[in-house]
Amino acid sequence: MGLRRRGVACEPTFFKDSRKSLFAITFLLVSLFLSPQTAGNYTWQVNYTIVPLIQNVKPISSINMHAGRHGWVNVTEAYKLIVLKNGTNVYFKLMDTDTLIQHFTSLVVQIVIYDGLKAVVTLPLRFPEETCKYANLTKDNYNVDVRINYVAKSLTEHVSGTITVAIWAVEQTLSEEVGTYYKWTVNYTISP
Amino acid sequence: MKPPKFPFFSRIFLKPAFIVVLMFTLIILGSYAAQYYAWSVGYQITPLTTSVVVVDLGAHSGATSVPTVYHGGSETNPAATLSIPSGKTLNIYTFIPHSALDALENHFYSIRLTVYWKKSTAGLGEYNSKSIWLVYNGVHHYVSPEPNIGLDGVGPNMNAIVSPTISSAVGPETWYFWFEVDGIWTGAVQTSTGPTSFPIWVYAVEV
Repeated sequence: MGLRRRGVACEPTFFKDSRKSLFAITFLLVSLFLSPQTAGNYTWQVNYTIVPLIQNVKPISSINMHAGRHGWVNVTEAYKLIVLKNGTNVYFKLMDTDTLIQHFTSLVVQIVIYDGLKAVVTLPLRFPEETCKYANLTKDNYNVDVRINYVAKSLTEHVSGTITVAIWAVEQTLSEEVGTYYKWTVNYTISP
Repeated sequence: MKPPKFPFFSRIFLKPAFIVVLMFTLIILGSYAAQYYAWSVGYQITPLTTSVVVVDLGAHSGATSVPTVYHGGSETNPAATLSIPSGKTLNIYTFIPHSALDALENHFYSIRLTVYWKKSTAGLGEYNSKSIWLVYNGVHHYVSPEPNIGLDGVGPNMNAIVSPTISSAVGPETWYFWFEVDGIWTGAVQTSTGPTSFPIWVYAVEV
């Protein structure tokens, strides 16, 4: 243990071992650099927890549509909605409507929020005017189904795009101001 | 032919290590025995603050606007008391270290901190305050402390709130501090942050 037998006497060999010397020097240097950062100030503390608003998002493959035809898509349990405070207003907004108007004669994205087996609220999003709606929810975990009803335009060539729903929440008050949000998306192609 | 053997004491005295230990011992012993003058350096360190302020914002959903204002104390019930020694002029610094700001940027879309302070003898409403957006529209807000002293080795990229100079020319003074957190819009986090926290560091520099 750091002592080498040499005849009868023993003498320390710790610093003769280059690896141990390197460790000792590194330890001293790290201590020197860390000490100014940990010393010389008082610390106040702000605690918080943030939980994702939507969870368990079901992956969806691209939807194939035909031009000039009506159709519907039903995505059950598209995602879970986690509401942590009573009176939280959860907003849903249909995004990129300028592109959607070019591809669809009519498009309704229905958001159906379930508490267990009971549908709590249904929010139909449609362009051009009803693209943003909200639900006032109590503290709970909800399942959300998404039902898409569409009439594709009579297009002469293949087009593709994405239906995007932005989801965010506001505690206690109402505000349609869009800051940061979750995106629920589904890709589509329309064949002539 | 074997080398001649020295007596036991001769062998010991020839060891350099023994000579070093012997000299060191003599110096120590000699200093006790000799006459000397003694100068002394007196000092007194008073705690800048004895308060450990902890504020709990609670649990919130991601991508959620939170209108609640969270208080770390108030004017009538200040969170911290800062003691300024007699005849001293101090700059008080409260700031968020760079590493904490990086985490805040990942967790918040917006969050604002306001620090309030007043002299203990000041009347109601006679306080000063300073607000800073720690994160605004998804981007954290760096401000280099002015001056960048007091904490060696922390580096220049720190978010600092610099309070004005507080001086105590006549006698020791007490100042009250409290703060608020508001303007909260949580980030669209993909996984729960779990219970976590960010620090507000407080220190002073004598002018």
